Amino acid sequence: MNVTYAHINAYVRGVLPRELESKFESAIQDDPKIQEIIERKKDELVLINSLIPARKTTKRTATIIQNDLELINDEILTEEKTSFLDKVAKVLDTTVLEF
Amino acid sequence: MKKEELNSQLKILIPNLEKFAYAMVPEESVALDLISDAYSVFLVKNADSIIKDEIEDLNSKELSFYRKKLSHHIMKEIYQLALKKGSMLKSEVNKVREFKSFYELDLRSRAFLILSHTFGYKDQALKSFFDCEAHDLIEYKHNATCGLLKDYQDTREVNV
Repeated sequence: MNVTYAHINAYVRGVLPRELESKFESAIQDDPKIQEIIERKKDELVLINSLIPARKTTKRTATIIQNDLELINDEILTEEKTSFLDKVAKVLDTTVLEF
Repeated sequence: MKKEELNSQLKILIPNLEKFAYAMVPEESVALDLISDAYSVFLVKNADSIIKDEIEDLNSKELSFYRKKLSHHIMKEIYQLALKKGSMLKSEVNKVREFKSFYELDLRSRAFLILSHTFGYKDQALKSFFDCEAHDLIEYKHNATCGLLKDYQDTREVNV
């Protein structure tokens, strides 16, 4: 297997396809240079993740957002109203035709 | 789709929406406004198709895919809105003390980092999010990563 930087990056991020993983691991087994690159990339990934905010949603915030989104749904999604009016229109049409 | 079903799907997405909005602006009330405004825009654009979506019969895997799609589109609106409100959000960003190197980055780099590192977005999803080509992603990744690690690289060079 020809190891490329794309393989290394995918391996470090844990997204290397499973069928390639064992081939990759045996290919780098005796290559200290690539192993060093992998270790460096792993350290870099840990550092990057530690520098990205990982906001945890509190119960209070979740409730506020949920209420806001439900209110927006009520205002914008007028499915029931439309279908109710359609039903009324249909009844009136039928009634007119029957008469 | 009934409103109750949409509400229950949205409830599951709230933590990720907040994480994303907070990455755009590190002030809770402004981030919450951003979510509401972006969701309104999303809904106005997509109300017809959302009403037609029949998620009642979906299995758990399909439902999870549906939620991912929903979350992708709402976050995209949050990002677009954040870009438009750019200068207004800057004053909040300037106040921040934690995660300074992250908030010093531009909005695109911040969005790129949180999508690819926190939410595990792959190239295809990133291309769709930023409406760009594969080669643009390389540039975005380079700018985001180098910008974030700028201070650390400088320190390492000084220490050597």
